[in-house]
Amino acid sequence: MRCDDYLKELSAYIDDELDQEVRKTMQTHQLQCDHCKTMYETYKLIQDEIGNSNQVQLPQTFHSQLMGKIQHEKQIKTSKRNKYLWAYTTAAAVMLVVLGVNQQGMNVNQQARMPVAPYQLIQEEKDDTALARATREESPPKEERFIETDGLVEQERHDVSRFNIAIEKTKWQVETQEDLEKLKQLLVQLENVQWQRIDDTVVELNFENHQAKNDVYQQFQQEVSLEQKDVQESLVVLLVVEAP
Amino acid sequence: MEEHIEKKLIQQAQKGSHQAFEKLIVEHEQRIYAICLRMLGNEQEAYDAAQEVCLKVWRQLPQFESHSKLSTWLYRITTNQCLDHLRKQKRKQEVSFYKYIGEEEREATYEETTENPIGTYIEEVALQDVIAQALSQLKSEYRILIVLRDMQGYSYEQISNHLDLPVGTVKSRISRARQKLKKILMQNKEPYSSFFRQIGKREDGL
Repeated sequence: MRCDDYLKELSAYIDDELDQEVRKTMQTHQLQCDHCKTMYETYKLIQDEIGNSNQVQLPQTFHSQLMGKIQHEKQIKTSKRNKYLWAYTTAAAVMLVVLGVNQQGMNVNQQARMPVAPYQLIQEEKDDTALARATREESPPKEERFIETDGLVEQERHDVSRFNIAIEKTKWQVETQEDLEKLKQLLVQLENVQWQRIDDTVVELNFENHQAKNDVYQQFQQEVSLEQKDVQESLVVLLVVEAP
Repeated sequence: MEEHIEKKLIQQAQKGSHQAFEKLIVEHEQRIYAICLRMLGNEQEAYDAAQEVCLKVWRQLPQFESHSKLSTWLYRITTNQCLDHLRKQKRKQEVSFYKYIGEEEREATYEETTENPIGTYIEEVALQDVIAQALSQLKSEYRILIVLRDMQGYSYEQISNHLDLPVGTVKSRISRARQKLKKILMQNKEPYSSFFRQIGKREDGL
């Protein structure tokens, strides 16, 4: 083997990436040629020094800063999870109000479509609310008016009117700040009407019959604009007539 | 760290225990930082990249499957992070240079042992600095190959798969990278003089 050939293969030789035959030839040449031996030692020294990274010192702040970031991420994740759980529970609760009245009338297939988990969540998280009560009881059979669909939560939240079932439900959103204040006052003044705040922007009013609902509805109409527009702060009022 | 302890800590960390994660990462963060420093050649960039790597390890740990080795997995994340960084950097046409580690920092962290006498330590640290600086002068495509091979110990085939290059190209590029690195180190000027003298002595002795 000539020195040129040795030097060409030297890198792969120190990496142990040559087949055995070439490797043996390299070893033999190295024993006979001091120049190539020194070249080998030089490359090996560089390789060993690069491999020996123990001398690189980790900056002092590194670990504490990292753990701080991780702690922060964990907190954000936890608070997000709680937020989603609340939103999910609320959405599920609204959905079950709509569907709950129909539960007794469902056939087996329809019942199988009902999500089990949200129902359990409601029992755990919101068992004390009138909403949960409405979902589980007070449900006469009205099978013929049930609208079958998938993605119930989404659709219910975007288009309440599609679920024209046992209860009468009116979604009402005020359009101005002034109307919002008026509506809040009206809600406080209401007598003999069961109502609850579902979240910061949704209030649900429950009536025993249509007449009671219409009375309140007319009262609201006189005081507050009905037209729905985009407003930064608005309140959605669900007027719900529960089945007797 | 013993394998069964590591496995247990991984399981706890996967469930969200940051105490378990801390015990795991403390074993590897120095090496993660060292790889980033050698690959990127700049302390600040290496610091940021290594932090990002450790955060990715934390975020992706639930997906980690315990039949593979943790160290292999997280050094792969490290390499990918550095490669991404270098690709972005290349687009920006930025050039960065390695900065020396402060002398005080080195002395403050040194602990003398009988196996590691102080003279050898200083010599090694000096040589490490010189090599690190030379490495930072290499084009990034050469530097990556040297770090993957010499620091992380990947085979040519593994590097070929990792960088999507033919094995022959990996072999020839590593060879060229070594030649260039040696050329930089053999300059008779600061900071390379110490390396030049060390090798020069051997060559004189021929």
